[in-house]
Amino acid sequence: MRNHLLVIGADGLGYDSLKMHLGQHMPFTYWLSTARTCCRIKLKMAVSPRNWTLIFSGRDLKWYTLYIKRVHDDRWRLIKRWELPVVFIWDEFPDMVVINAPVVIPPICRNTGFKPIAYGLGYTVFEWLKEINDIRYYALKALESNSDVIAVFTVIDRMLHITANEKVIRRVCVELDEVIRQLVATAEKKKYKWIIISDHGMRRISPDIQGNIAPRHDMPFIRTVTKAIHGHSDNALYISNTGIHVKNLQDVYRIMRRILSQ
Amino acid sequence: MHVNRRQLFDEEYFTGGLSNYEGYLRDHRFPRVARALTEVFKLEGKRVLDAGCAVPYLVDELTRLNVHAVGFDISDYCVKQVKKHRLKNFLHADALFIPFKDKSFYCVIASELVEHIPHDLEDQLLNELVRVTQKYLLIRTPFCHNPDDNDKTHVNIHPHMYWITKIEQYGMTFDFQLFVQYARRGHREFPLFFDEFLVFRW
Repeated sequence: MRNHLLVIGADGLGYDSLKMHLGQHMPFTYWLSTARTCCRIKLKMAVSPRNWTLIFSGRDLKWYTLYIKRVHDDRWRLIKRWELPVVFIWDEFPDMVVINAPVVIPPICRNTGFKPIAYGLGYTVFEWLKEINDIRYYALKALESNSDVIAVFTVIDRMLHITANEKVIRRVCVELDEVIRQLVATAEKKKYKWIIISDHGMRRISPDIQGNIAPRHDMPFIRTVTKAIHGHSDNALYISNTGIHVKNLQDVYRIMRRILSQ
Repeated sequence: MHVNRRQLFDEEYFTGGLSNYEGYLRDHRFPRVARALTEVFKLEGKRVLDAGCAVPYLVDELTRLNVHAVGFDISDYCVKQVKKHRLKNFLHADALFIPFKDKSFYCVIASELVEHIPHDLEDQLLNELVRVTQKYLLIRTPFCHNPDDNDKTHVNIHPHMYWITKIEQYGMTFDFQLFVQYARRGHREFPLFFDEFLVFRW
């Protein structure tokens, strides 16, 4: 019987962020980083679209640094899935449950009832809590039915971009940590192989507490950060019960593929 | 260790020492909370239970808004306060053995209750709360240990996602929309006081 796989993605939860700041609000994830195989991945570039694509397809699209592309003057549009010349792991293993994989906007969902919250770009506490809660619900349901699961939380990235309010950070991180605990506990009980992976870390770039966010002029359904409090940093987090160490994001793709092919 | 909860929540608990209270006062926010609950959950004319209500000020305010509210608490001190203030619709009872039939109440409120019940009894408590609920179960509890929290009887604090997963196992659904609707109003009108309820529905 082959191994089952759970991948928990945490956009923006870098190795350094966990070890130096967020670990105090995420005691379980911090503990995992000490009790299981944990690696700090040094990144070439700290951008989400390129790095998530690399994690889930093994292909490094160097040009893919933004989820949008210019179509005319200051008019932009979202990049579509079919414009990415890659085969994602869920294309190879179509029975996989994919929840909120942010390789494009809105994030990819497959074999699940989950709907991305605010195009995967939530910016209020309630939107972040809804994303955490909905992913919890659908990922646990998928684990119950013994499916392979990829579930990605975008809340850390979205939250840290626009706030340094420690009360808000604690509220969101505590809840996220509990959901990670529930998913890992369920996965361990069912003898799954599991991986926690992030695409980059976050670092403080402004002394202010509150940033700003606004709807795009050309795509008002999408809200972008107009004043950032934290920016991206070039380290990613990897924790796993596979016992395998990784050096780069491509290694994570190789491990996933190996587990699913066994 | 066996703890007598009837006496644990005594005068010393409510008037300072064991808890965060310095007297359990009839705060000006009780009427506002009652109004918000009544409007958001459409409680007028409905049967409502305030489980572990302490002194039943909220029950009293709900009753004034034509809600058929009843409260109960295990504390002997609260029983004395009820008599002293001539409050009605109150029972002296244990949340682990709620003295009502299945689905007796349209809405059950458990505000600052679950964190007081030890972990090994939490399933019994949740089972009882779910059992007597006909439509809505509202749970308010801290989501993590706060350094300013002096209450030594807070023995079972978990993140909200813990309680949501727990209650879902009893078949109830977490209603995110109503959670947000009430919390938005709570944050605006009475911050840090009944500002967030986890809302579950059948």
